[in-house]
Amino acid sequence: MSPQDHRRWEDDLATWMLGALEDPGSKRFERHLARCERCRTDLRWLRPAVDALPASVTQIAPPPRLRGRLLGIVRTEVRRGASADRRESWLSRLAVPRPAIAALGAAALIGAGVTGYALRGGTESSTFQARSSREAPRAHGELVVQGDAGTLSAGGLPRLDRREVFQAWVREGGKLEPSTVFVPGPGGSATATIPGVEGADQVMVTREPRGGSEHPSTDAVLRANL
Amino acid sequence: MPLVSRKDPEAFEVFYDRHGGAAYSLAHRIVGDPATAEDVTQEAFLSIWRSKARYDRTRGSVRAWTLGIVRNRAIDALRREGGRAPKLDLDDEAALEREPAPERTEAEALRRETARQVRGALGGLPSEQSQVIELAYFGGFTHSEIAKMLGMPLGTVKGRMRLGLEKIRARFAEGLAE
Repeated sequence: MSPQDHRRWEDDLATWMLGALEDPGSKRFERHLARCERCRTDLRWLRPAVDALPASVTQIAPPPRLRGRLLGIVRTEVRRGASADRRESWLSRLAVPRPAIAALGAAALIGAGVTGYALRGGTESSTFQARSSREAPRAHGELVVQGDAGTLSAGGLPRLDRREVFQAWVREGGKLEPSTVFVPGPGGSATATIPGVEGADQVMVTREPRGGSEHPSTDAVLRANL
Repeated sequence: MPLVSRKDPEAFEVFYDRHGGAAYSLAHRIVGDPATAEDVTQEAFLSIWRSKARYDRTRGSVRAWTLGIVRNRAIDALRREGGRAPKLDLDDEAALEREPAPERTEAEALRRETARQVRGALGGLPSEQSQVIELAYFGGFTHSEIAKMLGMPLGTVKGRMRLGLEKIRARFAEGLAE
């Protein structure tokens, strides 16, 4: 390939590195890159220029609450993961066939007042109704827990101010951990994934400033007792 | 990174302290709104945590990899909200003035100095080159969108991107901010 012929690939390389090359050109370039040592050399050479672009922006300190919320979420997930591992280990020591364990689990959950139960691909899912509050009397919701994660489907949620979000909270043993933030659609309905709900006592939803909070700043609009 | 990928919260804390500021600053630059920048930064760090951090050292530094994830999330947020890069100027001192007084740590000072130097390298480009680079990287526009917006051929847009990146790289090779 002559240097002139190769020039178009060099232009594509820069455009691709900036994330601006559209398909099918992007895929075509990636195929070329896989077999062109010259382009890979150019890529290694130019990479520091692209990597430096984020450093050109004015450095702004993130709000401290973001750190607190992130660390709260990861610690909760680790704690829940550890307790799930312990439970798994305990169940495996029983040496009972899995369907039997599932049946035992179902009986226990129904006995505890769970409103729904299903088997999907061998994994139990449990459904809990969320209760509204005086803050949002028309709100309703359902929390489906499968494994360690819950999916909250809510409707009738009140309208939010532009600078507000709904935030889910997971309560376990008197300790409340911040979780997912979400914004409902125009009709007041929303679906949110809430990690780390296994072993929790309650999931609740509050209105919070956009970006979420470390501690609830308003009363709950929905509560689901698990 | 290996500790983060092994789900060690203390390692994640260190990881966030090291890269959270740069991540939030980049997100803020792209989406132009503190609350959305906060959401984007949170989404990006949780995705790294939950995906067990598939970092590939052959593809650059941890910071570049992390900021690549933040950029993609921020561009997604921008597209979701139907907005685009709020402005194209290289400096953002107004945003800085709105911030509480930063901790004057050595790392903070170094980051600000690096930012100043890289802005200098970008600012030293002919405006037609810095413009296409900014529209692509911070605005999330594709090369054909940029060509349409600026009324120029696709090849010209790509060529300006290449020339601009090559000039920035050449400045680094001379010893600036590397």
